[in-house]
Amino acid sequence: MKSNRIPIFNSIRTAVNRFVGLIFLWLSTKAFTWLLTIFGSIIARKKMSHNNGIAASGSIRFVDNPGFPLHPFFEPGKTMPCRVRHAAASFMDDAMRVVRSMSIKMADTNYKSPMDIELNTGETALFWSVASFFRFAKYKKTRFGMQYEEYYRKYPTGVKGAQVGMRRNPTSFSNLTYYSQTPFLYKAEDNVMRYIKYRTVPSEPVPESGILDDYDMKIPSENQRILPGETRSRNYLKDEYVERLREGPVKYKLQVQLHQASDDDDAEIFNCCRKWDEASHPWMDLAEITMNKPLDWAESTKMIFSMKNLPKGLGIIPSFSIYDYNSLNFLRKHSDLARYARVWAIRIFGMPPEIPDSDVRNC
Amino acid sequence: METTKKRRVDKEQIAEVCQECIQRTKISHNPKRSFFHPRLKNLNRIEIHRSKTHGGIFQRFALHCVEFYEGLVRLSHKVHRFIFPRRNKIYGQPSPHHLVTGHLTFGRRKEDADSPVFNMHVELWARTIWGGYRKLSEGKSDRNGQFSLPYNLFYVHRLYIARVWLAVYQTDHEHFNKLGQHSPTFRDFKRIKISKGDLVGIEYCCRQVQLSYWEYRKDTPLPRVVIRDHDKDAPDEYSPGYNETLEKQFIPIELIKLRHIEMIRMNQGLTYEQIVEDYPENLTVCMEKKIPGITRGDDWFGERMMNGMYACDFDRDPKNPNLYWVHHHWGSYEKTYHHYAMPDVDMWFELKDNGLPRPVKITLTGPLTAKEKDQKQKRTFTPGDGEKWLAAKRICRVSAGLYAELAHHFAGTHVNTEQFAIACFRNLRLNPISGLLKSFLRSVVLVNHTADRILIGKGYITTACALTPKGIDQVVYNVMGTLDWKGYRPMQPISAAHTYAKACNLYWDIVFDFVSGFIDDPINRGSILEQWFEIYCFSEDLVNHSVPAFLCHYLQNALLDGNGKMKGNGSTDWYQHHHRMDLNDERPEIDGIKRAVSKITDKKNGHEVTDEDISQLKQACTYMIYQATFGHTWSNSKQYDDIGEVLYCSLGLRFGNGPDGVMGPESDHSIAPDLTRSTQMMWWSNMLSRTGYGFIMANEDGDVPPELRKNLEKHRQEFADLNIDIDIIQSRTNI
Repeated sequence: MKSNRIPIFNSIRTAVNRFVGLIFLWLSTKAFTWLLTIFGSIIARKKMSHNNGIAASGSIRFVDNPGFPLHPFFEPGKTMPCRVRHAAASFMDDAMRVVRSMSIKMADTNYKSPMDIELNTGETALFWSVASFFRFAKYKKTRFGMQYEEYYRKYPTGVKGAQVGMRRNPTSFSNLTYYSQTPFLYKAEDNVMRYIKYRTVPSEPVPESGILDDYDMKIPSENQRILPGETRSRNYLKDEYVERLREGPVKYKLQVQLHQASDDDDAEIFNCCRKWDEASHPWMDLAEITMNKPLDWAESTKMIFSMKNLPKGLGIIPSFSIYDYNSLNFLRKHSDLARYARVWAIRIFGMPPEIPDSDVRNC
Repeated sequence: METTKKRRVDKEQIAEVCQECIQRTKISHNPKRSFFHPRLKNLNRIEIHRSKTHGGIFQRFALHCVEFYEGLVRLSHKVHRFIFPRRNKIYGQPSPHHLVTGHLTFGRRKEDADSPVFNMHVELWARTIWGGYRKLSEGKSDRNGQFSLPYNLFYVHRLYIARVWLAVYQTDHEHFNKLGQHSPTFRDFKRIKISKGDLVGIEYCCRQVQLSYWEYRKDTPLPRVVIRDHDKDAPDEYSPGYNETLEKQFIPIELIKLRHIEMIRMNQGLTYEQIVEDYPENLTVCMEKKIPGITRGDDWFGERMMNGMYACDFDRDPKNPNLYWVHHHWGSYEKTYHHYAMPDVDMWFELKDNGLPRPVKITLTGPLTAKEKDQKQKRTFTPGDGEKWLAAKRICRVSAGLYAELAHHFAGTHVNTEQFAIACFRNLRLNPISGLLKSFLRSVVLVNHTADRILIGKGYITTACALTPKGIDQVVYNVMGTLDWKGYRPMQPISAAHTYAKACNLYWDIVFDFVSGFIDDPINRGSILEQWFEIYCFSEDLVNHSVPAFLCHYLQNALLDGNGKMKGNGSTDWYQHHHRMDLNDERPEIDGIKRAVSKITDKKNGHEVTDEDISQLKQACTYMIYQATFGHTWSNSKQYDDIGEVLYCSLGLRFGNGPDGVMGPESDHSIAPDLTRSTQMMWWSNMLSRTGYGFIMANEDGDVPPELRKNLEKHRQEFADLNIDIDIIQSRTNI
């Protein structure tokens, strides 16, 4: 008789597999973090990506009648200080075709906060597990505004992620929609296990700018160069955001999608490269974010967003292997060392220079 | 009265002597090779002058060592397969969410790269650290060439899995088991290594996998296959038994040729008589020994033109319906007139009481001496012209021999079969028609590849007649432009003695019945319709790569009206049309050019198929099998009989040194091919007729459908009555 027909054997085998997988996941995460710490954070004083950003401070207010089972942290009507950092992935040029991001810190500090959320443009991601992220990193090979050529060749899902996530010359950081893509745990007061996805949208309905048109769709995803004859400056988006904040507050809505966990859930529900069906998982308002004041380059650069900054019951979903979809958040959570090392390196070796308006493009 | 009696005796004598000599010169298909004979690795090693044999002690020892090594490798593969069997079991539970994808296309780089390879069997394999094979997934490419193989991500990443690869399989050999069931085997065609680390779930794309798989050549307008290296990456291969048999048959002949070439080089007085004497006795030599002059007579001439290798097209003379007219046109093709005569030939025959033709008039158009320049000069000869009549018949034999070699043999069967073979191997995989055809279409591309080097191009024919390589290409191109499967029937007998046409028709009917039975079989029919897209693509490839349709100016004027249709009112009854292209049929047009080969179907899906499509498929399959087997056997095996004596017939005649030029007597050896060409000629005819492998009835490779063999066996006596031994009908065009 095969062992998997005896439930206890099956359970033991699963437990062993998970344990071995977890060890691999932990080891590979640590190895990656150390490499990133040494070569990225200490020597280059850079984040792995999203270096090109601007932060702002303001407040977040949770909605009064959310219409779904609430977690105690999301107390209706509660207002908290908040910071937001917008950035462009990989390149130090706002006019390039890149993914844009929004990171939310529910405190007016650089590090500590009760909750951090990291979001990117595009409802689906370019990679889906630690293993695929390692491939993503391996095949980066940046040259003259081109990168991930081999990755896109091998992984069509990455191409799809790039096509939905990249934005070409958006008019503002404030009119984009940002998604957390990966699901998190959500244990509400009713103690029912749920999974949650976050997104932010402009508080007033405005058309999202920068979505790739037919022309851009035909350009291979690895080509992230600026358009020929581009006149926008390298900092045009950050400048626009500062200007906008000077004119008045910038408002966003924080929305959530919930999925009630069940034993027969397919693992695909955790796949960040797949959207949840909006008909069965509608987006619901959770909070309103209001940004009032831009932060300078130094303050923006020193900020750290961490997956450890999550309230109890809103943490990451456990993962047991580097191929597990939830392992991405595991990696994020366990790579804080690199983040802190970067800030300490900045303190010791000085702040990296600001991005000049006119310089060599496509880098 | 006296003359009539003498003539009757002559006829009986001819038949008697012929039968006796046929038996005496019958080729043994089980020759013995001496231990001290040189070795020959395969057909591609033969050369007109000095084949790449291995004769020296050290060479043979080295070859034995190589063969021993190859044997060891084969043995090690067997042991390896025994120790590490490739079980037909999928390991790990494939998940539909983790896929290895890609798409298969023909060609390399940009050539042919947009043609998908569909229905190709693909598998995902892994090997463990202790050498075991693990099949992870299997599937096939769809109509766009795309494949998608689900696999178990966690199984792939088990620690003991060392390597992963994608394997693309091609059909290897077709076999029919004792029950007559078709059982093809598959073998690795291409492996694409996949880094284990790259398999991270969701979708890993192998992108475009280009298969250098039965590619069409771009350097010739003919539908020919790309063979870069015959011994390494040819799309087909000979059976091991074929090479072995060929070596046994071929080496004794090669040794004679080498001795002659050496004697010529050393000027040791080699004569034409000695050349003929040294090679195995053929039909005409044997008959001449019994009754001198018998093979130079009119009766024998007429019989061979009708039922010999030449198997001429006997049309009625449009101007005199009582006579039959055979025409060989060489005037339109590029030639050099430095040494060889090559006039256009017109022969007129009347039918004797016994139904055999007797020549009554021969007209030669073109120079007959080296000094003449007029290409249009016509000279007519009749039986009353004595020596000149004999010379004219000799020119006719040579012309007919060359025409049979180039048009009937090389173009009509070899290249013609190749165009079907390429389209078949490129497109037919799951359709039962694949099993029906492939065994007959094997090997032809390899032989043609060798023929490109040694027969046409700068090969033997260019050196042995006036045609230049370009001229030969023109002949083949034009002949191919006249060949179409649609409406084809073998030549209709013009008399009771037309045994060639009778045998062709008998064989055609047998093949047609067999093909019809195969296609009408309910099980086969269902699969044929299910995989009809393969037939559609087969047909498209065939038509798209076919040469333009061709009809010479004379026939255009004589047969067609102003609209390009056949004239009516019986004005074209003189023309034998059954075995020729149907001029009433609408030719398919590709890029504005009307093509020679018709479409088999224009339906892509089985549910759209009509009875007409099915009957066209039957007709096309019958045509392919017929041409690859009987059509080729006839023109190939009869070479030994009809061009196996240099002075009787060769592939070219020189102008000679006499005042009458090529019209001189046989005794003037300055007309015959020179000694080197003569021994090569004998070598050719012997070599081509002595394959000794790949016969339908012998079924050496077990790939001939048993039903066809049964049907043939039933008609053995009927064939025997037509002087055909069914045991010599080849199952493929392999030489």
